[in-house]
Amino acid sequence: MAQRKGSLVGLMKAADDQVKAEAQTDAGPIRPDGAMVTTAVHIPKATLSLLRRVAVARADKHGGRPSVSGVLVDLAERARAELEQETA
Amino acid sequence: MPIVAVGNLKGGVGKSTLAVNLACELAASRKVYLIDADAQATAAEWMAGGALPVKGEALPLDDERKAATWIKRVRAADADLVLIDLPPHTGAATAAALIVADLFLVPVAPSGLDLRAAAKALDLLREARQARGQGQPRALLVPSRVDRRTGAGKEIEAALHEMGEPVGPAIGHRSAFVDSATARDWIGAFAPRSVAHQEVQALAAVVDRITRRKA
Repeated sequence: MAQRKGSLVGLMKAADDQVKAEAQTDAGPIRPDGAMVTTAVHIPKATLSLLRRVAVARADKHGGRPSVSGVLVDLAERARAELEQETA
Repeated sequence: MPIVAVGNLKGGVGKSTLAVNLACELAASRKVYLIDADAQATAAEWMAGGALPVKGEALPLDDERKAATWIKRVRAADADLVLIDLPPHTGAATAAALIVADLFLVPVAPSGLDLRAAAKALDLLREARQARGQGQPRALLVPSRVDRRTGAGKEIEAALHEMGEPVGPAIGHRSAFVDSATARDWIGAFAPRSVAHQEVQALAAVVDRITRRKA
């Protein structure tokens, strides 16, 4: 019984991952396409500090230079379905 | 968009009553969508009466192969908050809800059988947390159908605290809930400012705070 419950939760997690992946694939014309722009954002110091720390940690782990912009893009892409729903 | 699931693995603990009344109370400040994932469709029939201030649909999930479609429908709801009324068993709907929900509300009536069922529901919750990480979903145990004249009713909070999850405000075993359901209305319209309504308001305030904190 425990095995069954565990496998069911695992199946649902896989289904959710599939839905999230499809949402990213079907995201439409505003997906990052290589055309970059530079802008300024007004955010709390603590938030920027966190983003910087994440950027540095990722650079340490995966190589390359730390990129706060990269962290922000990654966050937005992960939440794309939810964000686009707000604009629908 | 926060998703709140109401579930326990035992029937008769007041899941649908809680889900409907909570959805209606929360709808005063947010656009709430109520999904009835229980094939018995109690909440959906309640909504079909047309008197409730929330929209929603019956969306049972009995076939785990249809989980992706179900999850898409839940996530696509046009609302500020989705509330899911779950069936009383460990089926696909309960497992899927534990994967998508931000908060899992577990109504527990004051009896040994109900406490054992709640413990099993928490086992499932912990499996989902392991699969998802980051402690998601959060949980809130809700003492339900509580009669303070009984020993079990007096001790339900103490028993629930031992389960290691937060315990929310209690919902009493009150005829006003039965009467409002019979009238296909919700407690805030049927008996505004009654003790029953105040209990729902207290719980809604906690749920509101938790789900806004997440957002």
